[in-house]
Amino acid sequence: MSTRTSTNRPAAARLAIGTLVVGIFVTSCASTAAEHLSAGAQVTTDEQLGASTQVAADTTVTVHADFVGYRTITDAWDAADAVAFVTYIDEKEGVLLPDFSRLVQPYEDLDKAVKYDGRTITLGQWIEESGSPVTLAQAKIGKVWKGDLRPDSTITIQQGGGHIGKTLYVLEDTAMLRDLAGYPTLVFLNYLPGGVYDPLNPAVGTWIVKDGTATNASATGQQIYGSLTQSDLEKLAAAH
Amino acid sequence: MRRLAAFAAGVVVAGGMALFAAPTANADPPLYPCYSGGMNSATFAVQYVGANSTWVGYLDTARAAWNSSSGFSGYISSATPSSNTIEVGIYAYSDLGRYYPLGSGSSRHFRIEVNTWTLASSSTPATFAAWSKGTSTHELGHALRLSDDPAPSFPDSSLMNHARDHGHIISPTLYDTVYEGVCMP
Repeated sequence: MSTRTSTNRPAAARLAIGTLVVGIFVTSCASTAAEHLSAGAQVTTDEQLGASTQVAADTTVTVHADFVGYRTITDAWDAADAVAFVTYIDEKEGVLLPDFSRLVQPYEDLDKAVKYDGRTITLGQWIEESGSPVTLAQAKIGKVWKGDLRPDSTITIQQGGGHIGKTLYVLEDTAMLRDLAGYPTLVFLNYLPGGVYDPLNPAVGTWIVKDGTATNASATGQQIYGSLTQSDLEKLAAAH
Repeated sequence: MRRLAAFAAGVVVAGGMALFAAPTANADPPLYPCYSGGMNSATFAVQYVGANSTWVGYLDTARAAWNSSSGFSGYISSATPSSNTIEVGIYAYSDLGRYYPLGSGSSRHFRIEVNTWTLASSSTPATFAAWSKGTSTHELGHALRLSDDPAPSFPDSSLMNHARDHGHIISPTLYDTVYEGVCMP
């Protein structure tokens, strides 16, 4: 398991690591600063993250979020309502309003929707005024590692991101289940009111499973959590 | 000149951080990719939506956290109306808040969602206010072109790290204000 842990490195090794990090940082920072001062050519812009999305869009906008980050995979496991293998089936998109009473129908006809304060708003007003574009994926449950999901049943997993008109909104660091279709996916899920689940967070929520190893599917998550073998999952499940 | 000073300060901050954190190894280079969805200027106004008096206080604190940061040259004011909004609401998702960049070029503005449901379920009654202020300040950081998780191995080094201690890291750190200077045009 690739969870970050403290190690008892000799002092010389610590100094070497510190020096290396400073060196890397100075190089990186100099590069970043210089690029910003010129044209920003190689700075990682978030718009690039949406480039692999399958759905055609005139514009891709990356939405940033604040969420609870877990320092270890054990912390994430403890926080999740459910952990399971799933297989992507299908999806639809919608817009989520800031009111649980609107949870039942936020995904329907956007042009005829009535906002939670009673006003009717049009498609173009949604993103300006209120509402989160979301994608609702149908997924078939495989092995359940934690929680009360039933194997072979189907659940709805809500992920941030979707279309408003011809603009595609992408939630930072989110690996969409549709992009992992064809492989079993390990998911860490929270249960939401209304019978829908969502990933614990974009960084720890989705893992692609190949050759018995689950590899975190988000860039940040890969940095922090790495991969989980079948043995790692068995140990986590047994310990909790 | 401001960027040069910020860059120099960044070297000092990162160097100190790296040496301080060396025993925990696995250190990621603290490169801070800037967020292109931010505003064109660090001076802008924001309108509060759905905020009761308690939340007005939290959002005022979030603005003040940036305005009083050493080295911050902008100013975030509150105004009604404004094309930039912070909406306080109960959202059915597990994120604490979300930042939506709207428009582009000279018409860039934003909408922030602050999710009281996840804030309440993730914190305790004693820490709810701190979490709420911290998330609001974090989202304003995106308007200032700061990206997320600049140094995953040093979670408490930045308000923009998701794995920070949400009950205590609620204001911009030196690291954040340094990079605000680098990232803001």
